[in-house]
Amino acid sequence: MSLLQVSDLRKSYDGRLAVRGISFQVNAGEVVGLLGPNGAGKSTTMMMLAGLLRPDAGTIHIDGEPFVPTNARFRRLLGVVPQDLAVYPELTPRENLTFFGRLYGLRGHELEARIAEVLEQIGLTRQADDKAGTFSGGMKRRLNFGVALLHQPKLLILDEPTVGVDPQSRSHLLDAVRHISERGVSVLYASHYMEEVEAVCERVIIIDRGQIVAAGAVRELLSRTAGDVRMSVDRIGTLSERLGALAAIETGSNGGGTIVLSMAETAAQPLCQRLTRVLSVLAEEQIEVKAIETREANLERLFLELTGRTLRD
Amino acid sequence: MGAWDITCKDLRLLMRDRRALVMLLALPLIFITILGFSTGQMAGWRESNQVLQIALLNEDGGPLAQQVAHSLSRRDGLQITRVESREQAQDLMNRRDVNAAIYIGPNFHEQVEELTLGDILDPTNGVLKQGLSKLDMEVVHTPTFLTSGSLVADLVFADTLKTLVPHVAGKNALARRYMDRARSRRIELENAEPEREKPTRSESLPLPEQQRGSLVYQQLVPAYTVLFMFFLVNIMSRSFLAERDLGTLRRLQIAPITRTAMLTGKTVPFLILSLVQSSLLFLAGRLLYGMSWGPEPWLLIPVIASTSLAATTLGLLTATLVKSESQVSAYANTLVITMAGISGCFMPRRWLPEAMQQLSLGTPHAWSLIAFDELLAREVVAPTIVYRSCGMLLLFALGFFILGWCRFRAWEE
Repeated sequence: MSLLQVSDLRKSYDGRLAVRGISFQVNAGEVVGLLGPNGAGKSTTMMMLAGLLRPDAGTIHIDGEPFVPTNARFRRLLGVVPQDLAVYPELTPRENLTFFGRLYGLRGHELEARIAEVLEQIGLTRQADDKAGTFSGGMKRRLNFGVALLHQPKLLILDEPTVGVDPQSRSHLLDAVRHISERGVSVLYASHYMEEVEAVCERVIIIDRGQIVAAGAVRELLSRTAGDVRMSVDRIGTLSERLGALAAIETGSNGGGTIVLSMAETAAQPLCQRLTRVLSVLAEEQIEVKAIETREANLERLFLELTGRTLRD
Repeated sequence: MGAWDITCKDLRLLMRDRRALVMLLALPLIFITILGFSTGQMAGWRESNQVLQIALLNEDGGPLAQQVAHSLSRRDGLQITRVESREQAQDLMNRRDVNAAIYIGPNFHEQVEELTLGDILDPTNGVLKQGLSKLDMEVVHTPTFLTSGSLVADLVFADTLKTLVPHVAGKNALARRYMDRARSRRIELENAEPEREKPTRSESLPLPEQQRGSLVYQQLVPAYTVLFMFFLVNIMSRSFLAERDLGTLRRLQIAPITRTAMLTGKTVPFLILSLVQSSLLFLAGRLLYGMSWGPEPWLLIPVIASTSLAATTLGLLTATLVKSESQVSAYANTLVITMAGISGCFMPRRWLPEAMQQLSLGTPHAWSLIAFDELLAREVVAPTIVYRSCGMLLLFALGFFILGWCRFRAWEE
């Protein structure tokens, strides 16, 4: 059964459509990625799901019921990690967690136990009584994440949770996401870092300009694109005519260029045969190969193929 | 419980913000002290500045001259300094240590003995029409004391006549009989010890000297307490902005607490702070500056509480209106200072023109000042004036809270 069901969600600001009819669902215990470049509509979607923005149209169902943002029951089901570092820098992590825990009705031993557990989970046990304002960006992000975990939500909404963090903290956060999903918590993970989404998500929804451009399991989406072999050469000469459909030619500066051989299974000949043929033509033309590199299929490539833009545009 | 949790958190944050605490608690005290010293001298509110400094030379030295000198020294409004010579008196005037000098000449006693009851009863047409000079007395004053100099001369003349009347009248048998009868009646009345009637409000203005405390601080402490209570608007707005800029406001918005609880939780810490601030200022006013809390000090509590409520809810409303730190500085400070200026925080309300006094009733400051004036400057307090002021302040508070709540909802959506 789906924990979150979103249907035809729309939102506009000052006549500009930010979200144009998005529909998707998140099942219990599933980690779903919301991938798109900055300005694609991820944060607007997240804010509507968190109850911070009222949609112009569309419906949101959580746990089978229409989402009423003012209803405390729904608010307890949700854990939100906003893009901003929404913690008090003048308070320690323990004080921050205590305050937010109390807002969610946690008290006494239960609260203390949860704080200890979350501090352990986010790796801030030793710094629990230091002021959050003295922390590095990564540590603050971990605390920001911990606050959302404290009341044990059923659905965790993460909006760009790793922006500006060091690799160690990023790895820590991704491990924590995997860990909580193993406990049955559903996660909606918005990011424009496709490596992160590939690393933690089972399904991915790719959005651009407020619309879903692709959605499905990571493996399935990756199968829609392919890697390639790229050979940089010092001159192009008559390669275009001689290679024909075997490979694509990208013209570079100073007469040089790049020969691109797709690794897609749908290509006319196997890669091995095409590679052999290209190398023999290069030998005949006495063209020198300066570098060879392979590029694997990934969501970034898929996004590029679908939209003509990169995720970081 | 959510509101209380927010209150505790904000109080903790305030305790750690030393700059804000200094601004709220120490600054008003420093301000009141400085203004007390400076305006005390400039506005002539200091008690020593309210009396006329007079030098007195008694060259006669007889019992009647002594009696006149003693009577003058007991007059309210005169501070008599005895001198030994005219040169010494002139020297004091030159140094502006005294405003005027009274000379009782060596022939005073002889001149008095020549007076008849008729001279005393008709001083404007008899021998006394020459004034003090007929009694060998003279009043001289400094050039800067020109206007008041003749008033002092008249005062000295009247007081001297009052002292001389029994002596001159005693020489007349008929007058002596009337005087004896009047003395007996006075003794009877004193023995009867009639119950003193409680003064009515109309005859009780202002508070007697001994209960009045320091006049400057009696005015300054409530006025600047009100001013600084409303300066909370600035700090409250900044607190809301900080919450918004940090992103924690969103966390509060998605937490399972109502909007009312959240706004109440954000308002109460500043209400507590305001109560502490104003209580400290009144306590300091009493301990450091010798001000009086008036005849009904317990009535200060509802006035302070309702003023604090009005100030903090105005802070809430302002917080929902401003969008940046620079707007806080521009709008909130302008609002607070303008309201304080209109209402009479910078000068006594009775100095304001009538139209301004009426206009100022549109500010909570004015109602607070009216209540404080009633409590601190009257011998008998009219509770209805105090209660009406508190009621108005509570209405302001309710209005500000509702408007703030609506603004916040609109802002959220």
